Amino acid sequence: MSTTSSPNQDGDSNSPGRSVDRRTFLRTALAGGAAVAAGGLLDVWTPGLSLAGASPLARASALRSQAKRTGGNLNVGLTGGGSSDTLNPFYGGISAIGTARAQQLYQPLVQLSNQAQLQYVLAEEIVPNGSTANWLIRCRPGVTFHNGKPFGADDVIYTLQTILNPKDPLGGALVLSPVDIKGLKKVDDLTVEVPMTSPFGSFPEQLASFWYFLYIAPDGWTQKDKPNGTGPFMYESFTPGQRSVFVRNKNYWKPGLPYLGSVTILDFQDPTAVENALVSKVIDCTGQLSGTQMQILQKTPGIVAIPSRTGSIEPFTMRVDKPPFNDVNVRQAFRYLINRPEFIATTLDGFGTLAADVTSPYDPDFDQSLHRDQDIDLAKHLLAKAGYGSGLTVTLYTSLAINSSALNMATVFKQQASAVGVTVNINQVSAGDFFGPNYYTKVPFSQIYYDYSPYLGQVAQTFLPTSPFQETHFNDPKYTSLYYQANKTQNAAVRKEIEYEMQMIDFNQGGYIIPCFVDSLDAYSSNLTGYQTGKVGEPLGNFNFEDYSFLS
Amino acid sequence: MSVRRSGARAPHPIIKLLVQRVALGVVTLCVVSVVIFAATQALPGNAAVAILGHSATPAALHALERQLHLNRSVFAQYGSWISGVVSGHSGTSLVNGMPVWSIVGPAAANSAVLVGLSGVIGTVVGVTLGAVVALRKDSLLDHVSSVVALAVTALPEFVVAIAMIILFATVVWDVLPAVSMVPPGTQAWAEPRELILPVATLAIVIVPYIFRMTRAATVEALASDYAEMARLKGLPTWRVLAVHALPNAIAPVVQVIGLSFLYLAGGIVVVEFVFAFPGIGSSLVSAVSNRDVPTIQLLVLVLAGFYVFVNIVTDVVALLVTPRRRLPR
Repeated sequence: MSTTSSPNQDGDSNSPGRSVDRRTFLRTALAGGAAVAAGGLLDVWTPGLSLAGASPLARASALRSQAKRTGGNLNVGLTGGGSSDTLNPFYGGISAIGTARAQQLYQPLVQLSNQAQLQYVLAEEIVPNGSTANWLIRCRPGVTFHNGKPFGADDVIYTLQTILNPKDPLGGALVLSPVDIKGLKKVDDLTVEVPMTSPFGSFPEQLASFWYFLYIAPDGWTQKDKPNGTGPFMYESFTPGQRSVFVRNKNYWKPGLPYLGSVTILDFQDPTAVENALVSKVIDCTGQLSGTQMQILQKTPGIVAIPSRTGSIEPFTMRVDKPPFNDVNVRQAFRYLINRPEFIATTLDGFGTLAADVTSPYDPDFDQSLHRDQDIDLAKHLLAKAGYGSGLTVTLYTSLAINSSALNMATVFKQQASAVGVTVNINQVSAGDFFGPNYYTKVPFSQIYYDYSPYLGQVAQTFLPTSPFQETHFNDPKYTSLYYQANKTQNAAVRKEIEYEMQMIDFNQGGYIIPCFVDSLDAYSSNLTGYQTGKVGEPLGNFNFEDYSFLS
Repeated sequence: MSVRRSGARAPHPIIKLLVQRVALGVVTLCVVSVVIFAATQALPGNAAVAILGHSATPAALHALERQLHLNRSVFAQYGSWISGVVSGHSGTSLVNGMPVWSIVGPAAANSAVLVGLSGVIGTVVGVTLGAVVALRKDSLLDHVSSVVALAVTALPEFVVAIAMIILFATVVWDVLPAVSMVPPGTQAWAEPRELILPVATLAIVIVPYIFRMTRAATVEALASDYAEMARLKGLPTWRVLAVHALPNAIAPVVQVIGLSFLYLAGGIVVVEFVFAFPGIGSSLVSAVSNRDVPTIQLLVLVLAGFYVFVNIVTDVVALLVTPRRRLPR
């Protein structure tokens, strides 16, 4: 082929417009690139200069000089959120970051205080009306929603009816099953009569134990409406998976509160990024930290890192209706084989307190005398009695969906169990599958977590044949009948006695292994005040940002 | 010869290439959409399980699945999605009811800023360094920079990112924010300080490749007869480099730059995660963990579209800077 008559060379020399040669291209590209770069630099740096005074650092120092005890924006960083974040009050309890948001906008009738005791919020009192099968809710007067509408009986009835809608029951319905939804009656503007289908003496504490699913929405509110609650902060903006901004509610019913001008809640995906953001002052506080992070932050200047002793549990769950756990000897052997102090030290870096397989340590009716130590000989003896003297192999289903320490706990349990001849195979289920229909309450041996709940509330959730979360499938007629007796009586001493008896059944026959109560690990900037530790297990003292303020 | 001449009236090689590649690209995107849909179906769990988490009782799950139309057949779900995309409706997110485009659009814009800035800075630094070092072949600078580049190549981007955070944001100097949380509704470049660390991280990751390729190609070009001739003519060194050697060395470098951009499009997932940057990578992680199929679909389509686009651009540019490849053979 001859190159002299190449059509391209002709094109090159004669009609530059039709074709692009390398020289033209490179020249144009370089010139264009330079222009873009210059423009880009201007774009990037000019606002940078003009915004210099508004950089986060400058803003922070301005804040320090202006704000005394009111005003300022609190930046809260938390993980666990994502594009499914919602401001729907009825979904407030689905994730910790969801509760953090809901707790600013909305309020329940009652909740658990940071001391894990019943605390009235929008209800002034909830009292039996003759018997424990009929209750009166008296609403707090003088409370208004963010849009100015006064709070009253209609809102309580609407909320309960929405949550208990038989066609689409919401999270809160799980604790309200005895409520006779059709019988709800408005006695006056501030009083609701709540009849029950069976005696429900623990009604107020069960409302409190699941408060994050029982926020009050105004009468007629639907998901399409703007968030409207009675909480200390009002909705300003929200982007799921990224951030929400709430501003001070000037008409808040608690005089003088809140102190902060606004609260910004930021979603993080990576726990390390939260820690870095706190250290570099991008956020002011965070929770859900790991033991390792806690130890680092406790040594970081300008940061206060505090563990809260809580009643949260991360139990191993044994199905009492499936072998080998249908033999109580196996269940007790599994409970005796654990070295609990070592378990706390290795899985939680020491951030936990001893438990004895029974829930609800802050319930006034909790039997504080229950205690269990490791007893390898007894565990071996019990296994031999059950016919597993020569060894036993079980599969433990775990998942990161439970929480970040679940796999650690499974591994340590496996290692400790080997001392009594029990082989534990760990099956890690993907996070998307664990709460689906095939695992969780189906497999014989697994793990789960719960925040603190008063005793009867926890029992109603997990240990009755009617419970929504039957990980153990525990179904003991005597135990169930004791539960109903405890709900029937109005005598506190009798009730305490019944609950002690139930806890003894848990201790001797139950399907949970609870080696420890898990601390909640929070950290905040030393410029912040008003933080309280919380025993429930919700981070940052139940997210009570209405009490928070900046020092200077 | 006459055959060749008639070839001159055939479409310009670049236009021919463009038409071919765009057509292939469209086919690729269609295949990707089917593969991704199949992959999302293979994922365990669904959006209803993800939304409800621990509070997923069978009754609540069932109600929510009905609400989200997850009880329809796989084909019906794919059909309604693809017909929506073709008619310009990207659909709504399963988990928060927002239009998918309102999630993907801002995230894609943020990521584009990150990839664009890092790519341009990385290219300029890499090519400049490569050319300068090529002039000083076998000097101390050459050896040191080659070893450093090799070492940096071995570092995964999250190591670089964490090192940057430790150096500039937390432990050593507390001068830059450790996270880059661009507020929704604002542009990524509105807070340039927040972009410095992620852009620097990504640039550091790609510079060694571009640097080494530029150096090698330029060294080769400088050793050629025409470069020797240019020097013998008495041309200054910079002119020999800029006018004679670099243009001939640029073709392989363009390919590496194209690959670097593609690498960036994948590499941002990790960097966005570490810096909590609200881009396409973190949106994808969130969408996958929530089983938000329409959002996953669109995000992956956008990424696949970017791959197709960069590949086409790379090929066209490579063709433009290699005159002999445009000659009919």
